[in-house]
Amino acid sequence: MIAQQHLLQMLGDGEVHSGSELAATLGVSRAAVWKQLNALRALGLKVNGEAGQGYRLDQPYEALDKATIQGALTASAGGVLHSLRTLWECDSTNNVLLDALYSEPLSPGIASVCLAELQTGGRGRRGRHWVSPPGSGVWCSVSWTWDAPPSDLSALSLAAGAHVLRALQKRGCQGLQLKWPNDLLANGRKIGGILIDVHGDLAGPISVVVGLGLNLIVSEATRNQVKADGGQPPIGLYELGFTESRNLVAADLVSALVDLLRNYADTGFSRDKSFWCAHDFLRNKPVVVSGSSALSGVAMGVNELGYLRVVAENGEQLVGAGDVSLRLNPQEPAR
Amino acid sequence: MDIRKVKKLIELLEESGIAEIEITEGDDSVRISRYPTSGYAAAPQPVAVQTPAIAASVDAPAAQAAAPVAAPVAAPESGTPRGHAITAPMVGTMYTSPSPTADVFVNVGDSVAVGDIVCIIEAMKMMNQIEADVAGTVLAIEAQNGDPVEFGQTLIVVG
Repeated sequence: MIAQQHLLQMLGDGEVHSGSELAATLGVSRAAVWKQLNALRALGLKVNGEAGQGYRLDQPYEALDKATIQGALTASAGGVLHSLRTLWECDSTNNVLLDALYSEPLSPGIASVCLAELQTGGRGRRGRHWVSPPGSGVWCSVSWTWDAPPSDLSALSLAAGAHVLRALQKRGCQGLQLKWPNDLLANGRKIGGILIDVHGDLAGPISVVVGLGLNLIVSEATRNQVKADGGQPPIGLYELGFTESRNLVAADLVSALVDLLRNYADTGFSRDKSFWCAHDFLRNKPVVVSGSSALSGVAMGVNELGYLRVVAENGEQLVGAGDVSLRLNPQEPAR
Repeated sequence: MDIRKVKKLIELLEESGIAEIEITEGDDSVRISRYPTSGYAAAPQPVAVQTPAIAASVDAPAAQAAAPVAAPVAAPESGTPRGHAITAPMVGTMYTSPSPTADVFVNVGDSVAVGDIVCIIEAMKMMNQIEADVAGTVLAIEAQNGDPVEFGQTLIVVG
């Protein structure tokens, strides 16, 4: 695993490297290099070249750097940072922080952060697999504990989306929207998602782990895999002409999430609601909600608790669970 | 359904103040009533046998007004918690394992301790870990993986 990480770092400069050069630097045989290159390809990375011609990574790769990320956090986020870990591989960054919570509860008012190059078990809603090859995105989680849960904890999911979107906008990224509850879209295509684990007693203390996956580059293999899983084809930040350093993007996102959690007990969702609604992808569109009872109607924004307002035939319904999708044919009767 | 389980349910009903209980487990369904059913407009409703430890949901949606009301049951005098229903603290989707490829949190027959995670209810991409509020043996798992669940619905019975 370490050899793989090392190899990717060497190829990260975008130059052509010969097999013998790579083998000599890593201190392994050329056959071992060849094997590791194929392993990188299997992870969804595009490595051009054959034995004898040299190898070149067909996409930029900037390794996660703990010191750079930590140094670029906002002062307010850095001030409450308990720990920040950068891993090569894990099943999911949320699980790493959850396991840490199980073994030792996190004191209220401080944040633990985990970032990884490679997630082998990234989770999405309804068991969807969240695909994350190394270097092609930012996969990070932040954990936080409150003595007593914030009154509008349910809307944390939406507030997190709003804060991430705002952080990206500040870096000059345009055309971003949110799809209820918190999918991040760029030009209508998914660029990221957020999943929150809630651990503890609703009477308090209660801990959350907010996990964010943001695409920088979506490989053809990943695109096909997501399509095959029935998901919409995703897009990456770098495919939108965005060129910011991966570590600085990571620092921005971690800061946004830590600052959100730091203030959420006081501010709740109320301060973000109008911003959220101004970037609402589903607004005024016909939607179908799956869940205990299927519902068809027109999405009309969200309320203070983050519930989606859907105007159906029998009036307005508030949706707090289930999957929401666009109804492609508005004439189609409600299922 | 196992006849011993039915017997347990009858005992449970007798100890409680409730009139009727219906349990669905996969394709099996059993309804036990103290009174002739003809006297009831018996719309099947999930019955919560005990109020959950975390019933004070901070985000109960407006829709819950119509949700079934948890019927509290006095614990048997022996003091041993028996037939406790762990109910959904919110509307959402039931998950019986932490991820699709992982093992389930609990199986029927497993013993659980207070604080053990027994399932997850997902709502708005928040995975709410549901913990056992009593120690005991899992008698029944009342909702399937991926099922939509209502506020107050029985998820797992521990006895």
